[in-house]
Amino acid sequence: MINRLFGNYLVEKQILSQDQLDDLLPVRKEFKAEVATIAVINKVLSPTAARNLLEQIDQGNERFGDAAIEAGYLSDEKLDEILGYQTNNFMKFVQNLLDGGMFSLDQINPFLDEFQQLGGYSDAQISSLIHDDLGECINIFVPVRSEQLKEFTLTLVQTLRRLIDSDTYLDKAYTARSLQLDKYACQMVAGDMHMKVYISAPDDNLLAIANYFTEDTYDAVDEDALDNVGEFINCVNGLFATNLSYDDITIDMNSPEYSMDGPFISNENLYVLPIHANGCSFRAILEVYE
Amino acid sequence: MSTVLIVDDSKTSRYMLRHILVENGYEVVAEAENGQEGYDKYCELEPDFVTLDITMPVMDGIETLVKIKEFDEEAKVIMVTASGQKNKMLDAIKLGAADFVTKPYETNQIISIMDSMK
Repeated sequence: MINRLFGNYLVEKQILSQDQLDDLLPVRKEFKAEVATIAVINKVLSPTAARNLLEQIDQGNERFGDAAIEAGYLSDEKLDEILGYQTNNFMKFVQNLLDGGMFSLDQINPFLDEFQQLGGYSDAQISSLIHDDLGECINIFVPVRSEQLKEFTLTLVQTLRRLIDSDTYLDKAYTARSLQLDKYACQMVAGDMHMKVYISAPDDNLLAIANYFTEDTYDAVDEDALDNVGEFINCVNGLFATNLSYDDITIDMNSPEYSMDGPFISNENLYVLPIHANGCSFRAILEVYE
Repeated sequence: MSTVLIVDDSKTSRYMLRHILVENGYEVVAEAENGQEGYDKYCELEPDFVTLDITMPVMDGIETLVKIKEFDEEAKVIMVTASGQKNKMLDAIKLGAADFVTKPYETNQIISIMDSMK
């Protein structure tokens, strides 16, 4: 999630273009971030010290980590900790940006600091984003008290990342008392929990789901594409129901519905979650009855 | 080649399941959008297998299962559900379903269940 959020920030600052960002994500699996990069991001090494060490090892056969220990910058334990970050998606993303010449070692932390400040993230929240702690990330973007709504959101985002786009990310959720929907699919859930789950977006934004959930593809959002989105919601609710059943909470699901004409809905408990996936934006709306 | 009837109100779900089955050597002889249509087609075609979505309009999967088993007690019915709720699955098994699969579909799960029932 932080890759897209930080990437969007860099696009707004014109450090890279949208096309460049789309090319860089998702980050390749078989790739590791460098120790120097991680050490600078984690602020255990200054960019100057990192650059000096890099120049030094360039002339010999030493590894950066060993050189940093020998120079007294890192302990063995700290190096082990840093090595644990080499497969971290955010570290790899930043490594890609460095390797592509988008910015330098000196610029990483000022950019990150500004990104943190603009987003209003605490240090703990930035750490959660970097570690991709999805449960904590949900807390950042979905400030609701209900544990079950948080659990649902977690299931939704996990399923989106697994089946639709591994770089799915959120904007801050908000509440509303009424909403005009666009093209949508939805499903009613009843039982120990009673709510209606919608996914809605104007134009062809729901192709972000429809064209990735199955091997079928659509040129535009039509009723077949909306049926596809409805089936996706069905899967999410099913997984949510399974999780609830472990706590002896039972819910039943009605058949999904969909329409090209979004209704105007009005309820005291509307939770709106803006979501971005596959270059498109849509909303998940939870209409909670009880 | 074993024949299959797919019963699900979601066109997407029918498409996904048909794709998996055909890729793995099964013949999908018909599809139905609701339980009543599914029952009628089962009686007409008597396929080797039938997959039944639990939640459907007109007649749900459980009711359809009961009717199909009344028509043909040897019918091999595989329940399909988005929910892994054990109670519902156990109910279906007690009523005569051969097995169940959960959505989102996993090819290996579906094919291993059907292959084991041939």
